[in-house]
Amino acid sequence: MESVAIAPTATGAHSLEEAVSRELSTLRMSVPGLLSVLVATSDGLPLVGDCRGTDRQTAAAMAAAALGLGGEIAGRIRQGDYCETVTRSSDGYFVTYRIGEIGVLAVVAPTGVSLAMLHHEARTTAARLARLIPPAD
Amino acid sequence: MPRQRHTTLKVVVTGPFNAGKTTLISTISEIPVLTTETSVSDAARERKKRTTVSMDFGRITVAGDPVIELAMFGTPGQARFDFMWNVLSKGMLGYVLMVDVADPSTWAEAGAIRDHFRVLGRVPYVVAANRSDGDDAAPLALRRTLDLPAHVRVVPCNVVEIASAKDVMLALLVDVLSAIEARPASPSAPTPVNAQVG
Ligand SMILES: Nc1nc2c(ncn2[C@@H]2O[C@H](COP(=O)(O)OP(=O)(O)O)[C@@H](O)[C@H]2O)c(=O)[nH]1
Ligand SMILES: [Mg+2]
Repeated sequence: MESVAIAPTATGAHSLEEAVSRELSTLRMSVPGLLSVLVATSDGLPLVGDCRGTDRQTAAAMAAAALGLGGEIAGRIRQGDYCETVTRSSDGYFVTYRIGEIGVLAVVAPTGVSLAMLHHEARTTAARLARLIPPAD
Repeated sequence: MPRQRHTTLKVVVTGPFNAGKTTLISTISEIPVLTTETSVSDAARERKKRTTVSMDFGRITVAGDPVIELAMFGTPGQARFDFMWNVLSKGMLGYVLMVDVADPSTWAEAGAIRDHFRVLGRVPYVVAANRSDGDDAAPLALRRTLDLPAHVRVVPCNVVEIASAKDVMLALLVDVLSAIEARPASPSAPTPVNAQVG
């Protein structure tokens, strides 16, 4: 296990948003060319970011649908915890990464992106976000 | 053993958040229900703690010749998930519009979902007036609010009860079967999947 220590010092909703935005900026800098980055709750509400081509509400709901269905598939076939879904289309990618028990990170990338690099960086981002965002309960 | 003919019919259960869609499928499914429920994180949390984000799936067998297997697909209720309505309605032969008859504030939304579904498929639907608890007036008021054509049935129910949940599905099944019978043979129309089991 890597240990990225991020104390949840952020108290107000505003500063949490800023902290999440900083993580997303870091991801964007590490993987050049990303088209959109969005963080949503697991029940499909947008937290930070947006999605090109559609409104952020729908994008958040779509990311949650991928997370929810993927999690059910993983559980049913006994393959443990859901990690990510890659939707590869003729003109690009929509990738969703689970953020702990609380949400989902969605990334829109062009065809030319290095998927290996994206996975490497986005998994780290998702793990850091999981420690940053307090659970709903 | 005589050869049993089997037919699988796809039906959808839709309606507003908190109407009882997941409950209906869970109550009568004979296989473990595939559900995609997760914690509600906004103000709707006061009404319900968990919500469907992708789909429910369950199955029930109705004896007869042919044996009918109803494949039941439940949708999320919130409009932000309307893309899943489009996905799940593909190939459906009918649908249940589930409404919490005890909460008239949700009826307009039920009407909007029905309007969305009417465009997705020209198939029969029944309205499940859930949590009716023997109240006869509310289902009538719901019929008026939704401005239902006379042939669309409103089935008062409490789908936590098996018998009541079955009433809803059987009402839909009857309408689905008569629609299939009445349909002129057309190659483009959705047809049930037929399978011979030896
Ligand atoms: N009393 C009563 N409660 C019900 C009935 N049907 C559903 N519920 C409850 O209503 C809530 C919402 O049901 P759910 O199936 O999750 O709604 P959905 O959002 O339409 O899937 C749950 O707490 C159910 O237990 C019913 O017939 N009677
Ligand atoms: Mg549900």
